[in-house]
Amino acid sequence: MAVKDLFMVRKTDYAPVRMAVIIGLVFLVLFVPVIFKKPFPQDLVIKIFLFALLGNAWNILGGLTGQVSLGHAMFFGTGAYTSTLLFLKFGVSPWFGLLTGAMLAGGISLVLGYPSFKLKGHYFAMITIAFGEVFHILFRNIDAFGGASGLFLPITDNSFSAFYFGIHKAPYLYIVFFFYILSTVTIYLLDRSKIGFYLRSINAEEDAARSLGVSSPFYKSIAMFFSASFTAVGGSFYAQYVTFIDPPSVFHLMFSIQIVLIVILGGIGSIVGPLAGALVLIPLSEFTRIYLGGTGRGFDLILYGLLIIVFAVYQPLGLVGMFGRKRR
Amino acid sequence: MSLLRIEEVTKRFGGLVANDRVSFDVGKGEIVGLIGPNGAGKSTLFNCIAGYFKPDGGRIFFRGEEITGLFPEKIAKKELGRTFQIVKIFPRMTVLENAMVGAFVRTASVAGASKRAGEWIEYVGLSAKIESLASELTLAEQKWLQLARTLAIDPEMLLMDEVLAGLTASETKSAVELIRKIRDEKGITILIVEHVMDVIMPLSDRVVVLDNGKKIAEGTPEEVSKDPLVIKAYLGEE
Repeated sequence: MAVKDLFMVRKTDYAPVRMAVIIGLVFLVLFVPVIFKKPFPQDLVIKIFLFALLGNAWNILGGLTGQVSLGHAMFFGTGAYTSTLLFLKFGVSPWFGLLTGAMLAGGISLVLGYPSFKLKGHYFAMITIAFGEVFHILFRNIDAFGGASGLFLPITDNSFSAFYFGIHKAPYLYIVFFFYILSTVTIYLLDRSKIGFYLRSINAEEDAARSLGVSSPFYKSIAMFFSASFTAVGGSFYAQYVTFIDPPSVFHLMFSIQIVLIVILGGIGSIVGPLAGALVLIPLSEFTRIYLGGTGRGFDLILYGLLIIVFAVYQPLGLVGMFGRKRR
Repeated sequence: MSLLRIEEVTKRFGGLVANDRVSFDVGKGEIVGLIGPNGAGKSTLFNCIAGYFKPDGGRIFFRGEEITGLFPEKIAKKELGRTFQIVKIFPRMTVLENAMVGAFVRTASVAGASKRAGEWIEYVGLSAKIESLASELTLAEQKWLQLARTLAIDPEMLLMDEVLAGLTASETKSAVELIRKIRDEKGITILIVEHVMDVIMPLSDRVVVLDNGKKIAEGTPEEVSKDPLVIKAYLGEE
């Protein structure tokens, strides 16, 4: 069996408009550092793609498979802490740390997924909150992992191999964009393979899927593994970019919820949904923070909430749904 | 030779005994009707056979191999397929994609699954709707789709739960023809739960009657319809 037999090709896949949009996006991103020379807009674009990456990762489990997790911060934090600790304690390259973090988060997700997948709907969401909080509390209290005060990454020479570029933002942008594209391609291929069919059937009617030989715990675990791994990649990237992590910044429940809100706003289960959601919500949260400062703390979340209510009522398919092309 | 053997199967829900030591056999190539008044335990028995409920007692064999308490997906992989009383289609997938989910049980090739799924959709007469979303189909069409999807797993035996409920007279007629055709042409053994008595009787080679969780009669449709216990169960005391 040839590899191409494993994936379905839809008529729309090679539509000229779609290809033009993709190529346009790639060029646009490549030229962001040329067009915007100031650090703030560059930082904004980096955050947009970071959250689009996290949204994509969440979407594999939440959108495609229909298992709503409210604890993805635990995988983000696992990625961030793994690469940082490996570097600080053993001098391991952050690139290797990123890969290790992704595998570790994937492994953790399999262990936690096994009992969690026995629960359905809201109960699944609740147990993911519980696991997420356990991670948060554990990391706040284990001194060997930096405890509540967190971990600083030391300043090193700027180089690709050290995953450190000082004040230069362009390399970070290209790296996060690369991971975003990688996650998008992964979803695209998953969606069009046997695994994607199985995940969508579990999402729609789990009992019927099982009657057709779909082992739902097994396929949910696959989705969870990919979802957790990509989230951890985002975590390692974040740690390298910000060079400081502590439990509230990477393990907080609000962080898990923010990922979910971005996907819901953009379009749940859609391949461009997370990017669309991040394009709206990340600037919104950055600008409210700038203009309202300390007094406006949490104001972005009020706006988020308002937007979500409006969308849930008038546009359940999210921003992507507004453009008419319904996803099959 | 018996393909499916139900041996003293018991299922309780709290104090209620839904299946009380039910035993019967289904031979290869047979169409067996499973009938009984509402609440007789027909669907419960189906769910026990297909792995959705774990029986509290008794054993179930398929092809001589014990399948009691296996997961539904394991049972499906052993070529024992089922359809649902309340249709459970995948609404946002197309007719073809619905059937492909079934066909993927034997292959990872999208082209292969698509080809096989297409053949079964044609077999049940849904070719014209192959690109439609499953949610756009009528109830009858959704039932054919459910059937095509289960046939795509290539079952040796089919458990059909009330496929005829809610169909018009002409739809029922073509459904009966289709069920016969599946057995006659494809050699698939069928155990069918049904309420509509004047349909099930001529369709079945044999009939098993449940009442209050117990098997009260078994035999040819003729024998069963003359059985005083069956008449009593359906019509009440004289």
